[in-house]
Amino acid sequence: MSSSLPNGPDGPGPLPPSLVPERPTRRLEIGRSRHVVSAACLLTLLSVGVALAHFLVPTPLLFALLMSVGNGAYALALVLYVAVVLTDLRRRRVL
Amino acid sequence: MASEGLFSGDPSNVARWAGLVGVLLALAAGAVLVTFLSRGHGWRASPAGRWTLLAGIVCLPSMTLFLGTAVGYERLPQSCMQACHTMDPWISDLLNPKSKNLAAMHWKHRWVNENPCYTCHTGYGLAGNIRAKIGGLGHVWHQVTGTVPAEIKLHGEYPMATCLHCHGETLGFRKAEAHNDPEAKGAILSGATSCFECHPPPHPRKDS
Repeated sequence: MSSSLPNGPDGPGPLPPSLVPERPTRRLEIGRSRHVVSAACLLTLLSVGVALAHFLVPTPLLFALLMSVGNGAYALALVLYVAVVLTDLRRRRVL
Repeated sequence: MASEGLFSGDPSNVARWAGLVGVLLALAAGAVLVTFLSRGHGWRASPAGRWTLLAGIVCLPSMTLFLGTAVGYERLPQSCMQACHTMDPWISDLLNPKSKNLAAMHWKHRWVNENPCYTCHTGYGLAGNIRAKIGGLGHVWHQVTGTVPAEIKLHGEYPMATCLHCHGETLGFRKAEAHNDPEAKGAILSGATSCFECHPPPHPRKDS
């Protein structure tokens, strides 16, 4: 197999990306990111649902729920989303 | 005339249109998020999946919640307290011109010009507003669960600094004999002595 790889002046060159074995920690990071993204989506769905209920039935109680539960869930979702994006950028060595 | 009404710049009409747009945006955001969640991991990691996620989490919901907040503030009555049955007795007393309770006196004489509940029940500054918001969640809980107490009770003691914020430097306050006794003055200014020890109560009891 090594005979098919290009040789540099100091020995065999680096393996092509497709042949580099994936680090277990990287797999763990990706799996965790998927769960975090799903959680962010569900939190956003919750906040959008509260907003929709408030639009359809505009009562003070639903407005209070929108301002507390809705905005709180959405803020948490945004934090999770940004965290996943930053993690992804760091993994790709952009940051 | 109907078209004028439909497209007039009246705030309530704008709120109605904003509400309609908000419903559409909320439905779109929900559809985008459900689509994203129902797809496989390969598609989610693709550029299409990432753009979908950006639209579903950032773009559409932020506009939805912004419109929800704006429409909510527009549709709320002048005082949100009037919207809750819980506050009826206190609002009635506040608006009663014959009442001698402190809150009614403040409103009757316009010592507090607007938002009478909020002005006296929030501390000053950003921290006061945040604490009031957090406390408001407790009020919502009592309203929903039907556990509203028969008597108004504050969490902790009412901060006399709120009274002194307006009254502390007034001529009337400084001229009052009871305020000029050095010992009493120190106790009042430090908050050790409550204003309500000498002045009428701010509100009536709910069962009175």
